[in-house]
Amino acid sequence: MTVAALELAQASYSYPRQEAPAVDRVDLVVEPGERVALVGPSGCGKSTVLLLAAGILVPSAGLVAVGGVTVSGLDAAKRSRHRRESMGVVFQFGELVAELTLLDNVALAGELSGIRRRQARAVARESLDRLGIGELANRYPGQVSGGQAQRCAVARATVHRPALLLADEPTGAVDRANGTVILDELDRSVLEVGTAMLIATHDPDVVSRCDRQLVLRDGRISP
Amino acid sequence: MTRRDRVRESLIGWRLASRLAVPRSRKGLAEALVTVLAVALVIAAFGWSWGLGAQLSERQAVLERRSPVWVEGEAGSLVSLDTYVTLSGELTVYRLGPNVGGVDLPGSMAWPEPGSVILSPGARAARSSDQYVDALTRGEQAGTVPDLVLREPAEMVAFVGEDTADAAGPGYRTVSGFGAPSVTGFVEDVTPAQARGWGLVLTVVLGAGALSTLAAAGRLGGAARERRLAVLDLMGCSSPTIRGAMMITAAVQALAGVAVGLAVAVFLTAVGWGPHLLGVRYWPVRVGSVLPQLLILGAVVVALMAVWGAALPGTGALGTRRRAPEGRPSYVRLVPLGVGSVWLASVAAVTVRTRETGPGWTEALLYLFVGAVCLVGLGLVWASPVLVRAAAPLVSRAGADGLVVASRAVHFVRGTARIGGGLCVLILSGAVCLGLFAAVMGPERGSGRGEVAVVLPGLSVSPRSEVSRALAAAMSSPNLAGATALRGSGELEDIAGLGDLRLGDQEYRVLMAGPGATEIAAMTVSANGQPTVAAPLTFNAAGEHVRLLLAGSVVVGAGGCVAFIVIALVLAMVTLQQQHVHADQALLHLGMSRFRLGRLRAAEVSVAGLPAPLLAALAGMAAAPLIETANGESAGSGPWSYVWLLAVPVAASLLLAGVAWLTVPSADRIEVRRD
Ligand SMILES: Nc1ncnc2c1ncn2[C@@H]1O[C@H](COP(=O)(O)OP(=O)(O)OP(=O)(O)O)[C@@H](O)[C@H]1O
Ligand SMILES: [Mg+2]
Repeated sequence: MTVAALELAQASYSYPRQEAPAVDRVDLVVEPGERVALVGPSGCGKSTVLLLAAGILVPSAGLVAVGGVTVSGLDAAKRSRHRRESMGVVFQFGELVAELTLLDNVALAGELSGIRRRQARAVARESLDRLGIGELANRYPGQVSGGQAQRCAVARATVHRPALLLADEPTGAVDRANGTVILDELDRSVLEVGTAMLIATHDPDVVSRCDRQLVLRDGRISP
Repeated sequence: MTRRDRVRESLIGWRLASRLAVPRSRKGLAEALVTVLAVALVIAAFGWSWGLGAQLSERQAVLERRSPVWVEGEAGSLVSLDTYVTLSGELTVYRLGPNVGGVDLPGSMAWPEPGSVILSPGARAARSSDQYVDALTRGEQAGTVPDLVLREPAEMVAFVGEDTADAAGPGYRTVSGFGAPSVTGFVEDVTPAQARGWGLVLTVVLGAGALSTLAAAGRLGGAARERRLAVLDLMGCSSPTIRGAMMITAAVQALAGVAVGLAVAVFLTAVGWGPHLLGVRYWPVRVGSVLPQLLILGAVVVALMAVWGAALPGTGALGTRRRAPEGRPSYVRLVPLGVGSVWLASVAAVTVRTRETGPGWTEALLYLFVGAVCLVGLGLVWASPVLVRAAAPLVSRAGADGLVVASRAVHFVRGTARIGGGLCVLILSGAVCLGLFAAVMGPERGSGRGEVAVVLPGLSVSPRSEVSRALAAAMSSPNLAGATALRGSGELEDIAGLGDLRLGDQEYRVLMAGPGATEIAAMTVSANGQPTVAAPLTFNAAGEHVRLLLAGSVVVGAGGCVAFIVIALVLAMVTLQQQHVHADQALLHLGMSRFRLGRLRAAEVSVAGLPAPLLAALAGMAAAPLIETANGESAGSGPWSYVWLLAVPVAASLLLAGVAWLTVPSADRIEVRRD
């Protein structure tokens, strides 16, 4: 039996000063190499599930395990380390470092995961090229469009070929053609190193390319 | 668009703007409070120090009011004016011969008859407890010196009536009245020119510090308003509407600050905190006397804050405009630093030359020197973006963190450089403050115990403990033309003072022994073979007075300036951290540990804070020998002062770096992103 790439067991989370939990006793397993789509209406808790999986938020009850390691039991420093080494995250709001060029943004993620600088920059450049924003490598996030920034975020999340990829609306800001480019880039990681993927999305194209889908409603997985 | 549409649009705009301008979150309130407090602090500081200044000039006015108007070689009222220093304090004695020609005394006092005396309340109180004062003011009390003629409530002043025979002695001169346009005949504490000069320096120095605090507060408040009002731009409000809203918010905050500041100034003076600061007792400070200036200052500050408040936002795409890196700072920024350095070097060189031929420092050179130091300080502030920009590539080679540090430093290069500039000015003003303080308060090297000779004419030495008796007698003798005491020496434990005494045509250096002096040869004065007065003397506090006043102004001016700059630095740090808040969050989410991010932020502050101060330290090292030569002494120099010059900026920026490190946000505070 293989170890699950991601497992949430009865995980719950409430934001500070909020009555209702944003995520309520969620059970979820993603196997290595598997692509899972997380769908549901706006505000149902998709982003929160991803933040829990990434170890940015810690569940108030239940547990989160990534690659067999219970991240919800680790301290902040160990969670950070786990995140930069074995996960890639595409955030809903981009979250690029505004003071770094696109290339440096991507290369930095590689370096943080332990790749040497020269190699990280080479890989980053290739990845930006594939995503069609190679010419913009030396621009700053404030100088590119929303969709271009999103593609950069995808490059950044996949540059170190993580074991687990968490993506929040990765195609939310791009046209269909670029959506396909993004999904190809994500798939490349799945094919090359067996990355497991959890994608929160509203996009039917994305759902159709996933192996299965989970529906979230009011913070609960619906059957 | 018709006129009505335009009016409607701007009305809607104003409604929106006024809603957004009022801070609602705790953070917004805190940012608004920063402006209010900064303005209040400035007004209070100026109110208080100007109040002290007004007091000083009032003192001066009193002195002028009772200065005799001497006339040469004419018959008239004969008057002598002496200042004695007693254990009870400084005593001023006017000895008045018979009034010829109806001369008026100051404060409409009646001219005392021979054998009678007009005493101030302080002198009257001291007379019963101090033999010496009693001896010098002997006579029947004929009136009280009014407050109008007293520099401080407890001042000891006596107007002694003498007969014609007494007034014929040396030391008496003819007067035509009282109220000379400048102070004459006193052991002066501060000359009016000195007072004006110090007042100017104080205002400039304090003003520079205050301005930096106001600018830093304005920037922080502006950034906050911009964040809140940026959305108006997207909603289609016109630029004047937005600017107007910004301006009015800033002005209202500043007005509140002025009100608070005035209240604080009034409170400070009402509780009488001011009068005792300089070690001298004064009449109570009256803020009322400086209220008009304060109100003008308040108006200027409000206008300044309003203009800054409106100047910050640009038009169009407010929200995104700032994300692109700032342009490369122009090398023109190096010009003031260059000019200032050349100027400073020239002043030092000229001083070295004048030292060879004579006095070394002159007043003009001192002002030129102060000007040059100010320009160098400002120059460093202005040049620091260029310096940060130059330092960044050196750091960017040091691994991934180095790259991030360098990129961040360059991205907001002006904001980053403000840290360095602020540190520079802080260190500079701190050094000037300490230097001035040391110069003013430093011990004057006295002569050694055995070397002091007490020489008075026609004296016989009998018993050794009679020295004070002898001096008292000498000083109260009618032959005394003037006594000017110098500063006491700390090295001679039992000697309370050292002074110059003119007796007849001869000048003597006199040692005044304290109550416990036994080892020093004691002498007895005898005019008629007998001492006339017996009482211990203390050293002259007149020099002490100047020292305390100067030290006080240093404390108020330079100390205030340092305090203001510290505040400005803190505000600049806060502003910088706020600019980086999104990037910090992104790095944390990327998997950077808090420890590493903390280190990175510390490094960033170091890159910001070190180059300019280090450059200043190097310049200081080069200039120190010159200044020392000009001073004619090498006190305090040597390798240690160089170590200090380097250590202070390093320590200061390490301290700031530590603060940046310790204030790392945590990864799960994700609501920041959506504020
Ligand atoms: N920082 C926060 N503080 C308080 N409540 C929050 C915060 N972030 C999200 N929420 C609330 O938690 C619930 C889940 O939010 P979440 O962002 O996970 O939704 P989502 O499914 O990703 O929605 P969308 O599809 O619109 O991105 C929502 O009701 C939201 O209002
Ligand atoms: Mg979401």
